[in-house]
Amino acid sequence: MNTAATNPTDEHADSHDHEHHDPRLAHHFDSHQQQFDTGKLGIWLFLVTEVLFFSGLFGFYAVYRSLHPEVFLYASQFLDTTLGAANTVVLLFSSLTMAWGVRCAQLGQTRGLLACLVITLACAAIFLGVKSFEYAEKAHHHLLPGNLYQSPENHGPVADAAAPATGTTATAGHGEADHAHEQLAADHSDESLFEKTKHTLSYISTALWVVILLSGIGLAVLFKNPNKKTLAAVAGCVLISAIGIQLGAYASIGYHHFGHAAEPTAQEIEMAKTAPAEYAKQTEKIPEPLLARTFFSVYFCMTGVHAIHIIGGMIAISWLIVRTVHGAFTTYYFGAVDFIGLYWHLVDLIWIYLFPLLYLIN
Amino acid sequence: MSDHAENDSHAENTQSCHVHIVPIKVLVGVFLALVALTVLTVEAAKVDVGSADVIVSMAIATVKASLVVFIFMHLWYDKPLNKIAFFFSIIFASFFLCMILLDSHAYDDYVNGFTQDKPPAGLASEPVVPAAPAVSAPVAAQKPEATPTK
Repeated sequence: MNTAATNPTDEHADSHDHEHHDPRLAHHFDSHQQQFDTGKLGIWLFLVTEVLFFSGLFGFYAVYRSLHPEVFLYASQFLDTTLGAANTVVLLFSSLTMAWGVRCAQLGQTRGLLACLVITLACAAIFLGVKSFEYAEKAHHHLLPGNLYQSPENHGPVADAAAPATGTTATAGHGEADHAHEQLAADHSDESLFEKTKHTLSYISTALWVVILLSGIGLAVLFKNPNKKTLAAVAGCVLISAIGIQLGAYASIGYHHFGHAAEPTAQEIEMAKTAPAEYAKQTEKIPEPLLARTFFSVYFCMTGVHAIHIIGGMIAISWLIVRTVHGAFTTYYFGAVDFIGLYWHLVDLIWIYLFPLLYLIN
Repeated sequence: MSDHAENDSHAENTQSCHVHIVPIKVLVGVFLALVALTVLTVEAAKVDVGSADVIVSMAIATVKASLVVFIFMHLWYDKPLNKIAFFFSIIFASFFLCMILLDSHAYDDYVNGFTQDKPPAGLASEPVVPAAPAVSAPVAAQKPEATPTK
């Protein structure tokens, strides 16, 4: 973004021969104000195309949900609302630090800007870590788009669900008890599923430890060297991203571990009470709607494209960190920070809509 | 607001850039409001309000989105041209969604009638292709005795 302004026009300096040429001001602009306003209109036009691009995916969602609400009702029970809500808060916090960073840049506070950008990058990485846990879990559950999908009714040890639920739900009504049984059955199959997910994530986390080690060594070696600022900053960005992803993945494993050990019964009784009766009947009658797989096509499409945007944003923020380390931004030249901030807020905005649409279907 | 003073000193200089700077209090307040609305939307989803569910969660999401757009993205203080560009994109996106929803439901009756005349036999037991003809199969499977509406 704003490459015309960010590349100092050194090669033009000879031919144009301005008397006091400002390397931060592209030669075709009269003033920094003009340069900033132009860049801002450009980034807003880019955001417009992003909105229209995502509206296609939202259209896919809207048409499919209006035609087959039962599919969404059925399939959204496989999404963990707590993880989704935690991710929402993480993204909102990264939005806050980004907006704060823009403020710091406008006021010329380089240290504050650097701190805000680093926190934003870390939050983005945590988001990706939690997302990777969710994706790994769904892959092991065979809840994948298209032909990769396998019905969760036809595999896994769901059948051995019988005994242990009776004591806890004895007071509940008949239909509710049945529903609690179902919940327990899901939990039982969850155990092996969780083990498999942890196994997969252990490979990822081993790779991440290697990355953390290497980039940490790189940062430590390059940190004091004033000639290697760029490399040191890149190593730092990689280090922060890897730590963030690691943190997100471990946090969701920990949540899954303790959350299920601590409150299995209370949660299920509450679920059985709050779930509407007709929904319980419906799940008994049609356990799995036809074309339930298409929900997961929608899910992976929308969250996947969003995750790609997160990765793009992380690269852009890393670039900002490198430039901040070089002291590129001043009170009159902070356009790049503002524009990438706008992009980052738009990514947050899309998640604000995705979260209730995918995770909160009652 | 008082931050403007820092830039006002070189107003005539080309090395100046006048922008609105949002105070920290406002930023943190907006963040807390966003978190509160997230909690609210999670809690609201647990209450059964039937088909109004989507409307409630979308209304809350829109409040959150406007907070982000107006305060975090400075659009409230931005130039009219940027405001117009963004709002027209939202308007056209909603036109687009409304139109495809209208269109996809315009043929409901025909599709229902067709699938009741000829229910796709293979699909009821084993879904192989999630393609267009299969779309209305569950409707037909649930209520095969219903007559097609005119």
